[in-house]
Amino acid sequence: MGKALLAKLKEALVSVLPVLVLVLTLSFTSLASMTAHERIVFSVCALFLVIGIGLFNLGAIWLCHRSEDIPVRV
Amino acid sequence: MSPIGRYTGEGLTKSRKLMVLACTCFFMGVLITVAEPDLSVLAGQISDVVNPTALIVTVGIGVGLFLVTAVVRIVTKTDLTSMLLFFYMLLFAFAALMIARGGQPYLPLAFDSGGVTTGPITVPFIMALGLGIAQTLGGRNAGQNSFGLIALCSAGPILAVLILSIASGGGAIDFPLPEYSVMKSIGPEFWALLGETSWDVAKSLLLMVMFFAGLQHFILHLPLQKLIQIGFGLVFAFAGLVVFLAAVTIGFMPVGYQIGYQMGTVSPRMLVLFAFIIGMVVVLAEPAVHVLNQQVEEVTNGAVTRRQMMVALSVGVGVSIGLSVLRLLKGFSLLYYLIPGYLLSLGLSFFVPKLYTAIAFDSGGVASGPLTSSFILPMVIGACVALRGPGSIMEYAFGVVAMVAMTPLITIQALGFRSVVSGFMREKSAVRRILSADDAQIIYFDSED
Repeated sequence: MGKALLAKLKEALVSVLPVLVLVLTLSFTSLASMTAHERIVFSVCALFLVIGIGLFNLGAIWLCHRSEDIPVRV
Repeated sequence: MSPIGRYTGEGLTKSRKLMVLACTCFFMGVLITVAEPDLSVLAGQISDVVNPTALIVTVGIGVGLFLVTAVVRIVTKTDLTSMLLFFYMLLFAFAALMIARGGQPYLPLAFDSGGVTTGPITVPFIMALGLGIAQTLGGRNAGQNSFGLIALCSAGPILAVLILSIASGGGAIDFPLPEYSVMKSIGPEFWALLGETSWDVAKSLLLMVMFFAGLQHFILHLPLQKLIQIGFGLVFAFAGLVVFLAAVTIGFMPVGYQIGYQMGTVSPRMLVLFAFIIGMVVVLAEPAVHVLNQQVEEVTNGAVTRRQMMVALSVGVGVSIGLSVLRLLKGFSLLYYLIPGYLLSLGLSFFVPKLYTAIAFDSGGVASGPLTSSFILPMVIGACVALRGPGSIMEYAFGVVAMVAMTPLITIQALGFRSVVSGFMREKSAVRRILSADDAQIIYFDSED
């Protein structure tokens, strides 16, 4: 179960990282300025986004497949 | 939700009573819609003009009726393309009527409501319901038949909002600008938000669980082990969604608004480019997208890979958000996108394999998930406030969800079109190779009469 969660978290990290990098890069240009506090809050939220998507997709695996063909057992 | 959907579909189909299946699906559609948190937010925003309860109930009935239609379609094996064609023509007819009655500002909202209703809880459930029914019925096109439910369900709310705004007589509406600011610390505000989010998610999951419990008791009778598995899945999905939604509301909503506002003030042209790029990456982080891609790969046996789906969705959403910001800059009606867009996507459906059409129309509802409505929409609202003032949000900022829901229809069908064309080219080059082969290799037989 831990392994499955780790795989899902990795998948989620890859999905969220581009958004985080893009927004943080933009925040250092003159186009959109953000305070340090805002940058930190945004980064922490992105981290929680990864956890949220990971957990949701892990739940969805158990929910999507019938028990006979789930790769990981509870 | 998903195995609940799948078992419900299988169990009900096995009972061979179409009436029971239809009634269950109708109530399911109504319950799902009433429980979807995004819709109540939308209803609250236009409460001055349309009674929120009336709106939610109308949309619920719309979704319920369309879910029944979609299920009956699977059972009777009716062609999805002709049904989509019929319903979208109906939608545009009602849109024309609404505009004729002065309801122009409602147009973006109406088309947005289609994407809003199909959230991360409903999508896996409805998709699994379709899969359960189609697999139980079997037949040659089981895979293809399992898609298309979300497509039809997204049309329901659009039609419902159009009819409601025609009935209410139109008129100008003001969008109350929410407070977009990053929280200063983890105070009572944070806990209140967390509680509210948990309640919203729990409410929609609970309705489904209660419904399933009834079915389990009367029809399904699943063994305990399967129920435990479903229970674990539900707990994880619940926790995941609460964390996801809270994080999006706290961090992504205010930052999205701020970026839109600042870039709209400093450099609107750069915003179009940024909107395109951010659109390409944002869709990757929509929670229901992975569920869709997995099911697509599974059902097509790898003919449509996850990677292809991701690229098609990514390009589609990037283009749609870029175009939405362009519309905001130039200030023209959403119809100038919707008419050619749907003309193209419905037109393509005649030339691509039916499976691609079904997947494409389902993806529209999946791509426009919670991240679109709480990161992209605030960004476009911010740009709109900077460029046109808060008075024109309804007309120019809304409509971005509708665009996100529309463009994948074109890009995913384009994927199918490419496979058709490359197949055609292969065949043609094979024929050419045979024709241009050396004459010596060909043996001529003289026919004697």
